Amino acid sequence: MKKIEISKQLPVAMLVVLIIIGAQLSDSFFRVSNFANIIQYAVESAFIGIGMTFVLIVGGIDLSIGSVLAFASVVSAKMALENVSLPLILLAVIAIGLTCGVVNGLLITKFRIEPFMATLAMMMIMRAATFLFTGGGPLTGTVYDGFKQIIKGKLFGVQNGIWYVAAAFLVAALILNRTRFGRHVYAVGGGEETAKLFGVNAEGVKIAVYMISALLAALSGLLIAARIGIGEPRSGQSYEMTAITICVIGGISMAGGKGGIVGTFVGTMVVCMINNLMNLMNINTDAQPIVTGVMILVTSLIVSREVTSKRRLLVKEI
Amino acid sequence: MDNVFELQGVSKVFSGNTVLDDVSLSFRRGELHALVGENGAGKSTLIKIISGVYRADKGTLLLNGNPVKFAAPSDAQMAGISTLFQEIQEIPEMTVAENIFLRREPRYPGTFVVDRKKLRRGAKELVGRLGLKIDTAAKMRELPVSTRKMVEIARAVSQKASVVIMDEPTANLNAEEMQALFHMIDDLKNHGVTIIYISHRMNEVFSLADRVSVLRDGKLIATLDGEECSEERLIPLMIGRELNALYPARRSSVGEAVLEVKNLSLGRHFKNISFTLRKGEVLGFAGLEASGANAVTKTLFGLCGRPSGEITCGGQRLEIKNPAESIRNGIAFLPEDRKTQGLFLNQNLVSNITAGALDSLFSKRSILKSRFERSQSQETIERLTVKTRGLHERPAELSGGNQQKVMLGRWTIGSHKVLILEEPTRGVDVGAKSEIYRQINSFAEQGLAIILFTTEMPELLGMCDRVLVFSGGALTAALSKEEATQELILQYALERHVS
Amino acid sequence: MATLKSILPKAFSKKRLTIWGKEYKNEIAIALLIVVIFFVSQFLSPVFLTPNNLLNLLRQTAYTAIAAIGMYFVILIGGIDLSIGATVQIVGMVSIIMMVRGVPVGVMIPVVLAVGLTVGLVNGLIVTYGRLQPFVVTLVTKQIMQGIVLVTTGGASISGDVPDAFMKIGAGYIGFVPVPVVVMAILVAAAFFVMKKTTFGRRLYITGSNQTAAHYSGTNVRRIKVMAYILCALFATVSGLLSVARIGAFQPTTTHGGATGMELNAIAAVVVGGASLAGGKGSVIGTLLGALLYGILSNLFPLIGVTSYIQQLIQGFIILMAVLISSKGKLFGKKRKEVGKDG
Repeated sequence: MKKIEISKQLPVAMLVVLIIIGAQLSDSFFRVSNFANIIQYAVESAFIGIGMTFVLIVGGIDLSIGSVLAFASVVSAKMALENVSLPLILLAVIAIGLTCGVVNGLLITKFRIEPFMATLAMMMIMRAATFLFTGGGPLTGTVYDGFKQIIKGKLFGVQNGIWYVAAAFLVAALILNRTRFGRHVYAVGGGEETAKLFGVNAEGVKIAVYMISALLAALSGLLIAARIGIGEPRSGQSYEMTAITICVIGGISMAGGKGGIVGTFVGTMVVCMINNLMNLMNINTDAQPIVTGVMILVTSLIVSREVTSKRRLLVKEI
Repeated sequence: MDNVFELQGVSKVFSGNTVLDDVSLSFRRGELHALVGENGAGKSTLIKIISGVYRADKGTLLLNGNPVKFAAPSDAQMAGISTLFQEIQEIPEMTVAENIFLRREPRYPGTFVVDRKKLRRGAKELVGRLGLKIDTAAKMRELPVSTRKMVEIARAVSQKASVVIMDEPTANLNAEEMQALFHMIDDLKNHGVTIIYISHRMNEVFSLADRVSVLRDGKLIATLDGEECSEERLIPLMIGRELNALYPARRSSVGEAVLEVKNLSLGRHFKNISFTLRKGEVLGFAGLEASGANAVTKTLFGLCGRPSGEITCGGQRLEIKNPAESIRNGIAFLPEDRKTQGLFLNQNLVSNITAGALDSLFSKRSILKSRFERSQSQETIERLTVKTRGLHERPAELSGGNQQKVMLGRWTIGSHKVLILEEPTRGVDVGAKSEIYRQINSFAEQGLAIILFTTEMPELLGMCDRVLVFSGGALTAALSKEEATQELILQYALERHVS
Repeated sequence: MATLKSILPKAFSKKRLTIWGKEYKNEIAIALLIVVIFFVSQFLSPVFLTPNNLLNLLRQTAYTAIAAIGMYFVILIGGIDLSIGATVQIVGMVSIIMMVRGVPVGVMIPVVLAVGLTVGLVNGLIVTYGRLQPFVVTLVTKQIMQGIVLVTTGGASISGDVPDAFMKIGAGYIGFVPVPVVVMAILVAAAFFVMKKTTFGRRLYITGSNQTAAHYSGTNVRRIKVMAYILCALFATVSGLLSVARIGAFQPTTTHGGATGMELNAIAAVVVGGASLAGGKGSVIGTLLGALLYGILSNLFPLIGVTSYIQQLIQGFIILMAVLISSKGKLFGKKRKEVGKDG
């Protein structure tokens, strides 16, 4: 007999409940435009959520994404203000992301610093670098229209943001489920020693994962700059919490080796829908972190209970 | 017959301890070559060198006559040497098929995309060819230990290994599963695969081995043909001395009952266990994996939640709650794994030795009596002849035997009635071993009642006044020192053995 | 040399000294570094070594040092508390609101301490009984507390009539020593005593060193861990009260989430002071010296014209260096092993 795993049903159940609540609360909720709106604003969340998914599955954590995002954001804004062409901006953003990711990855693998500490230091350093870059305040001026079109534009009548979200999830699912690299991310997260024994290049996999995370954060930074049209050094603060929330709600285990992109998608939708609902209900934005915080705690407590009870160890855990 | 794999003059030293001393061994194609020896004889170091976990300090490894060097286990695997360690190597959250083909996932030609159909089909075919009934789509964590072991073997076969090392492969298997394993071993041998086999179970070694090599204290003592092997022949070679020399005589008299256990049961782990432990007695607990022997010792110390049944200690009814409570009631416990369960590796010896009696002896109103702590610790390390540069040292800097003595030393302080010892001599050298045995005897002579859980047969026979044998969660026999023999213990241990 | 040997009492014998030197090598290294900085600073800034500035430096250090000692307990048991900055915020808000509404200081302080204790208790209980990673739990409680502060205040600062008696705590002196420095000294001495001389201190060490072994030798590991989180929150509360008493008003930080400010300073001080994030290692004195080094740098940098952003940058690198150094020596990391599995 198979026991029902609450943790597996939880994300979808939450999504359903939210949709029902949304429909009750507001007439505008069920409109296609509202959903399009939710997704349009979910781009950054989706990106960093996907990045964090890779990192969590491999058994790590990346607290630096908010700062990497901010740095990429101000750099791209600065370039846009000086009319640098789009491909060059994109190149710079990608370079920033990959570099930060490599540094995180090396600190964690070669120097054996705990991921949380390494990325915490990285978070401070990149935030400071961001402020240094702008000199403190935001970078303002007029960015050229093409830059704004990155996010404001449409393709085949559909907003770019929706395309980005769709593409990001599809590519991430393909990588994670259907490539050797993706499978090795799971293997390293689920049993690093075994994976190494079988010849998996665990360090390489880890470095690559942090590169993916930082790259997606940097791309989010570009999108934010395009959205707001200025270089705001304060952007991206607490984004690591958003990403963790998405993953935890989506059933991705903080212990590594478990969870999938579908979970991340549901998690992203849940988080963005909660925000959307709270806005529709005119709930103070300051209260939103309280709601998401409680949600993380409750969800992870449920999952942790289930994991413990499943282990059926003789010796009680401390 | 040709040699597939050869070791020439292999030596290995760990922090000053010579663990392998100039070992030369050859393995022939298609043979089952058993390695036997006591714990600490160097068997596991040897297989770790062959499988690329360790590197030899001296000597060469020859594969098909060519010298090889393995920088990592994966190198050895690539070269066709697969190892089944005691601990199953697996990714629990992944499926059987994924585990078998990890790092060798088939891909659509010319792409990065994993061909999942081919992966599943490949696993199914492999399992079918080996005559196994395993659901290859199941996750490893959902499967019983025996099946997971079979998956590992299947993986080795799929890698076209020419040498397969098996370290205690039957440890978790029931009789039926063992038969399946032995069939598979025959099959492998017929395909020319060499098997290096390590087991404590002598009867397995006798029935399976084409040749047997005996290791002792890091040296190769002898290599015998399978037919010439018998217990009478092997055991003296393994131990290298009379049993009595290692196990000093005890001058204790067994007194009144200290611990009485009636109908003790705990979930699926054991049922209706009753026994009496007396003052000055050393009571052996024997049993294979999951027999319940170890579960009872852990439960008595309060590690496993609340059992049903009745425990009286010194005439008082005990409620088993947690270790702290057990210690307060006079039960002390030496855990099997000193590094993860026993010692504070980065704390000084004083902290390590006094940790068990902080409240009862070494403090007054929560204030530590530092001077008393130091003097008692000093006395303890002298009594147990711990080789150390002083109390400021940390166990991490000591050798295995000395670490074990420090851990034992913790329970020589204070007024305990019952001492539970789990594998007290695991991984220590012979000298430290006899030291520990002497200490156990002196505990008994002082009137402590001792439970000795050990998987080492000679230790059971040499040290215990009585031996309780467990099988399948039940107590199957209580043998006196005179009655107990290796065969009898094993027979009772297998009586109800299920996985 | 022989004469020197004969003069020195036994306590200073060469052997004792080498043992002592090995045991406290981190502390000695930081102390030396501090001396060097003092020596160099006189060439860099004429202001730095003036008594006024040094007293000011000590006062600035006191807030961090007190929080750092609290963090030390948690790091010692192998945990982490990222919520202390938010605890300081909650404490500051509650205390100012109470005082503005005329609650006497004698009532306010116990209430605020109770708030701090509750925060620590909640953190500790969720970490131990919920079996969640400490940094996740405390990151979330941080977020929740910051949310509470922002919702309550609407992001605006609170000020009003604050009793003079309270302001004396923050701005006053005992003799020529600022009150916060005195509080710091008392708390450091207390922590030092607890760690050296009490069973509780010993249990913190052994729990951090190997919690299974601590459990097996009769320590109630969960209780010790919860106590560490409570202590951490209480020390943060004291630090928060002292800083509120200096300003006399409450200013909510406008950002929420993330790990910034207070907790990072405290973690940096503890780690720089020689503690290991794996637990079981580190000392009170090391933590104090770490906080002091930190205070000196943040005092000195503006004097020699280093901007706050570069300071932050340097701060990040210091943490990184400290962790790098402390992660050395356990190159093989810690492997989690499930023990006691029987069937």
